[in-house]
Amino acid sequence: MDIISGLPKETLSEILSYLLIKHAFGDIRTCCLVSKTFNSVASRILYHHITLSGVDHIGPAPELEVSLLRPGHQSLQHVRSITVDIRDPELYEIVWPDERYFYEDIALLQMAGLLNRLVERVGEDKIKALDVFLKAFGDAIKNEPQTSPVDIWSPKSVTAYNQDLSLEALTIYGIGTISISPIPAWEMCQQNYRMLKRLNFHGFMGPSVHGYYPNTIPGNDHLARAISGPLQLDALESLSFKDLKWDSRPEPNNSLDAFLSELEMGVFSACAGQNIKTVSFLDCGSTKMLTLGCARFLNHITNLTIEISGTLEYLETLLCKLSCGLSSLYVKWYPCPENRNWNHRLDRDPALGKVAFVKHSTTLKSLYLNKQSGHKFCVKGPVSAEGGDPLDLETISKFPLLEYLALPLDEPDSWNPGVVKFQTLKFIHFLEPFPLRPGTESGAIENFLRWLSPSHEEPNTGTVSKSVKLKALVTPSNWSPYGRSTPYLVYFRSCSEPFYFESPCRAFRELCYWHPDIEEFCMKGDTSFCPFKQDGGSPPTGRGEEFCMEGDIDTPFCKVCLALRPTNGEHSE
Amino acid sequence: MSQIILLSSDNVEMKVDKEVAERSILIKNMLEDVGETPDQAIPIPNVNEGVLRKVIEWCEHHRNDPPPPADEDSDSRKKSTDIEEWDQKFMQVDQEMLFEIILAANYLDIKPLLDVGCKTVANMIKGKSPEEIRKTFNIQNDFTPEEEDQIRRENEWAEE
Repeated sequence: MDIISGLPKETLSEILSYLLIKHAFGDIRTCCLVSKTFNSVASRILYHHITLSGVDHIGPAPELEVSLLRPGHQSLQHVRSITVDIRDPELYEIVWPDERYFYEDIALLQMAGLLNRLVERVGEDKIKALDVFLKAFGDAIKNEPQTSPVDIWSPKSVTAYNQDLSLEALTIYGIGTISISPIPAWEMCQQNYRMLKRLNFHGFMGPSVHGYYPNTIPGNDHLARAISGPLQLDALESLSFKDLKWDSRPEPNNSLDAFLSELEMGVFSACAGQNIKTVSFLDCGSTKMLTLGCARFLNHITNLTIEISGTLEYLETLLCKLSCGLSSLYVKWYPCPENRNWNHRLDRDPALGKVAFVKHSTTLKSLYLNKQSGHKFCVKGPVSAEGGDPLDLETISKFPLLEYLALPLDEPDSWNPGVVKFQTLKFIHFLEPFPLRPGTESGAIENFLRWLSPSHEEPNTGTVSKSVKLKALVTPSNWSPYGRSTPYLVYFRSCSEPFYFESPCRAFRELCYWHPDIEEFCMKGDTSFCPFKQDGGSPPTGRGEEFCMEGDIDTPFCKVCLALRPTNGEHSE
Repeated sequence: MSQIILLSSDNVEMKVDKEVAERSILIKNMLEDVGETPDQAIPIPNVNEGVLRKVIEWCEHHRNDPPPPADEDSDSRKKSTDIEEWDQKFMQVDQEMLFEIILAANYLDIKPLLDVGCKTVANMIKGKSPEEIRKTFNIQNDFTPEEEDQIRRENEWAEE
């Protein structure tokens, strides 16, 4: 036997697990075809999580059913988690406003049917994670009761048995909507989730189907009440609140206070507070109240993602209130809704104070501070800013563990080379436009990058390959997920000249293929940034691209086909 | 600096700093169990001299690395195949040695070295066709054409 096949299975599995990258199954799928030994290990990895993608309004992609439900399919035994993903049918609203719902319902029914059959084949007890738009399924069933014999799938134990479920992740959509109560989501909430690690509350009705509906408000407390019963959340580690809105009508049971107190009696009393490490608050109507209300339950978190608007005082308050040190902080700032009108800018740009980082500076590994609509946000150059004591880059550069940093940055023009440099930084992402062609007006950023890292003196090897470390990514502010836009720059540690990408989508995919940690970092901060969303997430296989050859992937950054070349000269072919 | 002696499977003794040897969790635990620095050599029955020297070389270079975070989610698939430059050069060895190092790292419980080894092999697989992978590692294709076709069809759902 050859050496690699003679390795212990777990070691081979460890090796192959590095090949599984989100959106890119190519390599791991290839491994399944190498030999029986490889297949036995690779299929375990490939099938661990399955995404059932619906094609717009016509239900699951045909090959899903044909390939997954093939007779004698051995690898299904490895499935542990399923995501159902139906893409946005918004397009059809414009074209066929009446027919749209019909097609949508059919699509959902088909998807529910596929999910049913798949779960049956896999074995219900094996599924550990379920991410499914229950609201959408519920509606589909409700609208077509006679012609739809397909049952909504939900764990059997919903009502018949009151046993523990083995799910590890659950996303519940449609929280706070009127029609939710007869739908299994509520009943599922009453089960015991001793294994559940991640619980996501989403206010809207599903990321795609009906996602653009206005949230109808009454009933927020239903959720909290439902999960305040016999629920056990011994293993819960991660909580996410998204798109929760509260009715302004003064109905006592629908207030935020009611929701908070139900949360306290529900989720927070059912789980062990010290287990919760990750919390995100996204686009919630009263994020301020919600976060401050929850703060006392969050004293052991290490990862915080938060969307906020207006002034930043309460975020500072929150960060100071936490008694733990964060290792990851994502701040997404937006102007107040009432200030979104360009004529009503804030008098001063909001600035996050140094005080907010007192507890977290020694533990932070990744920090993402976004920037929106022309507001300058918080990070100035190392020149001391007037008024208050805002966070500045020099302070950030002294965070001892910081590895990933994204921030808006004013033109860096004067740097004190004597200050402590970013010792541990692996990646910096500029969210501000800079002059894009080096050698023209980009002197400032080049000086800045030298300041950032002493590695500028490393010799220029002339070629960039997967082994070369990414140093910085500069995105023009007009980067658009739709179509082409200004090229953007990537600086690599061992190259003195930056490279520029003409096609951001393609380029980002290439980067992420070799640096999945960067994809993770960038996407968490700004999902609109990710080009995967628009093209369905093909990996950089090169198919269909001009000039691209199979096998080019080994040297992704010096081929004509990638529209990527050194900016300082002609591309040699 | 106290030193200990390791005894390779082919009976070669090697003197190393205790601190360096303790990059191996196996040895570290062993020493902790014994309580004091032992006088006689510690046998490493699964690792021969050449490989053990290589492993010690790696441990020497990484003697001051911070310990890997204990709470790392082992199940997360957010792994990067980035490898430090020194480690890349270190791993430029023939395949037999590469896999010996991986096995030794596994046996001696040196997680960061195991990671580097696995990443190196993963990078050798990336972007290749099944036939190219077989060629690279000298693997025999033991599928019948029918079996291969069955797997290909079963996995069609994962095609991009």
